[in-house]
Amino acid sequence: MSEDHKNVVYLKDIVKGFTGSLKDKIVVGSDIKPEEAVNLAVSHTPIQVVANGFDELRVVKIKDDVDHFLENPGESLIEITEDISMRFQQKFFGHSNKNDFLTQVKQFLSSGKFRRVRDDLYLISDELFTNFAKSATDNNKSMSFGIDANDDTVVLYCRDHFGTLNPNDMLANMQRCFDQGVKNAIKKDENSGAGIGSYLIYTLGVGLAITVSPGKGSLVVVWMPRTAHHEDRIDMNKSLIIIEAKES
Amino acid sequence: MSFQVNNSEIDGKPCFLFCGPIDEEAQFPSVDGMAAQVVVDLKEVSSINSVGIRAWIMWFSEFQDTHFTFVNCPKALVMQMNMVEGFLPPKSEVQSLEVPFYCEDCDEEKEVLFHVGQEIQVENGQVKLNYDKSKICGGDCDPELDVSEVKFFRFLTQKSTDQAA
Repeated sequence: MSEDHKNVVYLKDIVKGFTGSLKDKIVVGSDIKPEEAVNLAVSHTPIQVVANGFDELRVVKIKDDVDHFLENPGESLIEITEDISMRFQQKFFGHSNKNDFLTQVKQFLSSGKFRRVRDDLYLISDELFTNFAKSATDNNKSMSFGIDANDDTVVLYCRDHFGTLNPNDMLANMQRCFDQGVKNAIKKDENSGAGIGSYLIYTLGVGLAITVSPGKGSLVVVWMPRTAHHEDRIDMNKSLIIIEAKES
Repeated sequence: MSFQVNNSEIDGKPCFLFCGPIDEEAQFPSVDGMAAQVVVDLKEVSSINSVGIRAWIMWFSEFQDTHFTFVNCPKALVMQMNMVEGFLPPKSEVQSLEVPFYCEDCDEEKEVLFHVGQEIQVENGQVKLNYDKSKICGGDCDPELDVSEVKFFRFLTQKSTDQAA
């Protein structure tokens, strides 16, 4: 990756007093802590991308072909193998039974290949199903859920055709959990989840992309290294990508 | 199976046996006059999600004066102990937990119950493991601890640091 890439702004330059617009830029730093990435995304709205240095190529790839990413997030981020045991797709509706859905996810993840990411992928699947099913405004429209994996990386995504997800709310929730701690965030919020779900989804992966076209569709994509231990992964820096809807 | 809490007694102390997924369906019991020392057996907990984490923290927060001893903690809950600040009540200890192993020879995953003070020793803010590999698989197998040793047990050292403070 060349330092001259037109979309890239380096964190060190922001710290030094970069004064240009961050719109459409990728902020890259090898030492952006997860909470700092969230703070950047919140305070520099409408920032597009905050990436950790290791994920720079992947993130630039998303930016360079957003349409492909939105259409096929798994294929856009990783080289898909022929091995069908590494691919899972499921449609569900607002009225679908969560236990049935999670049973199928669990069955897919029972392969030893997923032993280090299994519990986290299951938890993220639970969170995404719950959030998407809850936000369904039409019970006849399906939502899509998928997991694509290769030897290195697992990509998990969920998509709807409603576009009711609010990325700013998700970011604010994550920021609150980082700033106040989960326990205090809970005490100060009477809502059912207190934003812990967004915080978990972000923390468990190494990359989170959220894209919403209001009234049309939402897509959440999470990726993580397949063989990294949970304990190591939660300490890793994260890429955080908020893709604004294109005006049609 | 939905979340259930069954009551029993261990060593003369009241024990709650938590079973099933701790999620938005989970109803924690109303308890008047919680005992000073309570055992919570987590062996049958299958999973926990964000709503369950919230319910867990809220429920345990009601009993500030009770000392909870957690036994048979599955990996799904150990993960939250490490990741979610405030997940473990201030007056609590973890007595035993399931530790994941993987044996390449058998290509099998194993969950082995470790006890704090036996297989797990916490000394001067550091965790030392003491276990017999040959008892995990048997034969000539060489099963490996399938977690990051320093970080998986971090909640134990964090706890001892908090108590020292």
